[in-house]
Amino acid sequence: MVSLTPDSRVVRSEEYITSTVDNELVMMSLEKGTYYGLDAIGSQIWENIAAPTTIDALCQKLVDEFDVDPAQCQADVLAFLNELHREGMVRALN
Amino acid sequence: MRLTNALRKLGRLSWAERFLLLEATFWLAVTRLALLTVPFRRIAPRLGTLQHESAATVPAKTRDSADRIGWAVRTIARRTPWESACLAQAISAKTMLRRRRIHSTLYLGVAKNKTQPMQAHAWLRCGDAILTGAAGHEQFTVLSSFAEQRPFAEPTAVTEPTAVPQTMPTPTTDLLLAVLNPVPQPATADALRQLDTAAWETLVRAANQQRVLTLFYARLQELDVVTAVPPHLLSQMQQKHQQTTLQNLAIYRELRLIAEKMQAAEVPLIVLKGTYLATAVYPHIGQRAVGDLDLLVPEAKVGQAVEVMHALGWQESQPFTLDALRQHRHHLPTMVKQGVNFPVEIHWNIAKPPTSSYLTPDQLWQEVRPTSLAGTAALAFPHHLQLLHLALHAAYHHQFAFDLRSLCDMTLIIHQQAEAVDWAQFVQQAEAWQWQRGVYLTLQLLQQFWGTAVPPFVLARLEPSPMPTDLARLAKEQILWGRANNFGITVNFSQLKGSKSLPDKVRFIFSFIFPKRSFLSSRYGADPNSAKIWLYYLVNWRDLVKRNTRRTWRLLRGQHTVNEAVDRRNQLSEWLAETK
Repeated sequence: MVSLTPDSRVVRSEEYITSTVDNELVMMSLEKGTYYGLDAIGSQIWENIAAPTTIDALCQKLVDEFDVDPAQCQADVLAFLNELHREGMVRALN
Repeated sequence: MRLTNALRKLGRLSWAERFLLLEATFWLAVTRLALLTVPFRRIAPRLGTLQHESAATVPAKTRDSADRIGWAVRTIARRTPWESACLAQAISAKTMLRRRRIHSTLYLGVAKNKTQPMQAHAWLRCGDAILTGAAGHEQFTVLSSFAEQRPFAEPTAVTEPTAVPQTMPTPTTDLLLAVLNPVPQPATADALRQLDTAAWETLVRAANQQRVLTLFYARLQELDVVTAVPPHLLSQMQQKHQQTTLQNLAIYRELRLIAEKMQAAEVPLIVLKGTYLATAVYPHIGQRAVGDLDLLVPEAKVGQAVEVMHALGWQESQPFTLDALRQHRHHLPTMVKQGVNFPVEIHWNIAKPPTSSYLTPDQLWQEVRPTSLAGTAALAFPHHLQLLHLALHAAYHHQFAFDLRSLCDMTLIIHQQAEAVDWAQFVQQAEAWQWQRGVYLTLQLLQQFWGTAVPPFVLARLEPSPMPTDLARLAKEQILWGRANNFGITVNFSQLKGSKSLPDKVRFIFSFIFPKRSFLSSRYGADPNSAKIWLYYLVNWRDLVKRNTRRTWRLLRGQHTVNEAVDRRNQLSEWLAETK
């Protein structure tokens, strides 16, 4: 599987039903029937990729909101989204 | 005239004694059948350890129970149309003792004298009492004895309350109702801040017992009193909330899988009760626990729906014959699937006979509307039908002996979407289906508990005349007494206790012991026209005994609160059985 880059456009998979528990997002995979949990920042990212977004634009949004170092943010977001990508939780669009 | 005499005698016995006789009849029949069909060497291991004897004395209380069992078995054994010999009596009494965790010893002996061939005898001893086969047992030489060697294991799953049912104190239930009000009241928050740990514990226990703990927790958050909750209770509620959320996600996943396949098979699907409410009415799915996935399909498509379910790995928990089932039920036996911890119930109607007399399933399909539940497209009832369904459940299906959950559902629907409820249609349907009484009483409770805004014209139209003044109080007491406490008291049992004359009682017992074949079929699934159905009379008897003795009978021993609950249930169900 190709790794995501800052230019990649991503969108979250619709194959999950979600809810929240104590500021965490809990998700149930329709296909596998397994649970996933995302913390507050993870949930924020999940909310922001409901519609297709480039990772650059996403990072820009997070930097504005959370006062983090842009380079650090991009590295963290990339790592996180790559993980979701491997799990099939996000799709990369060309 | 012997039968009349026997009945008259029966009339003088206590309820506990009558049940004991019924139980003895059952076990004598089963034992007789077993002895006829199963070789004794196969039965023997079930009687206890060979050549072992139980204690020579037992406590007085145990001795009392044992004496009563001996009396019941001996009394019935004299009257059974089949042969109830010493061995059958001993085995029956031993079985009944064992069910009560009482040890006993069964002796097999032989006697040889010169003039007669060898004779065998069996007798049963508990402590120093010979319960069955006492006459002349001294003349026999013991060949074998059977007794329980180890103490009985404690039951692993205790599902019924073992303590004397407790009525929740009124201040607790009043406060619980206040917290559950969808409109937060400042006075409630003040009252909660005054509570000590013990009072909190009682309150949380009451909320849990009423199956509204997660809603209760959400209301505490809205009232901003979470900081006043003792930490151990807070974490209990947080856990429950989390557990409910995860469980409901799993339920919505199965709903999605089922809905997609049903759509492919062109079986329209209405999502009922909790599964609809938890996401469509409650702001968070963790606020409304859902026990099972209730679905409604067109009556003509039940067969297809079952095929779809089978293809998805769901299996009915017992076989069924649809035609027989239709006469007594409104849904199929629950379906289960490996690895899934909740059942699915496929309905074709929302009401069961006789409450459904005026309701044909077709009527339900005229008003359904499309909805999206956790992303799944399905059909649902409009609000006025949701409300009628919930009232039906509380009033007619359970005579209010359930819990607060369905009333909380109703008040929330009305609170959130009062304008969206078609009240005129609501009244019209309630009238058409002859549910005025139950619906009126339910609405009265909502008003009494939470001042729920039911339009005055609705109550005016539905109000039965005359409306007995104390029914709302009875219904309130019944709900707050709790579902778990009410659990052992079936409608049948209430009716039995409530029926007035002896012929009534006899007729009732008869219909209870010899139900219609179609009823047995609806319960056990066997074809009502096959010879096999007769076998299920035996199974039904066993289940009757199983269901009724332990629980009901313990309850019967003159526990005041229980008798009150039975009377309440009778009054309510008698009143509800009448139409306006």
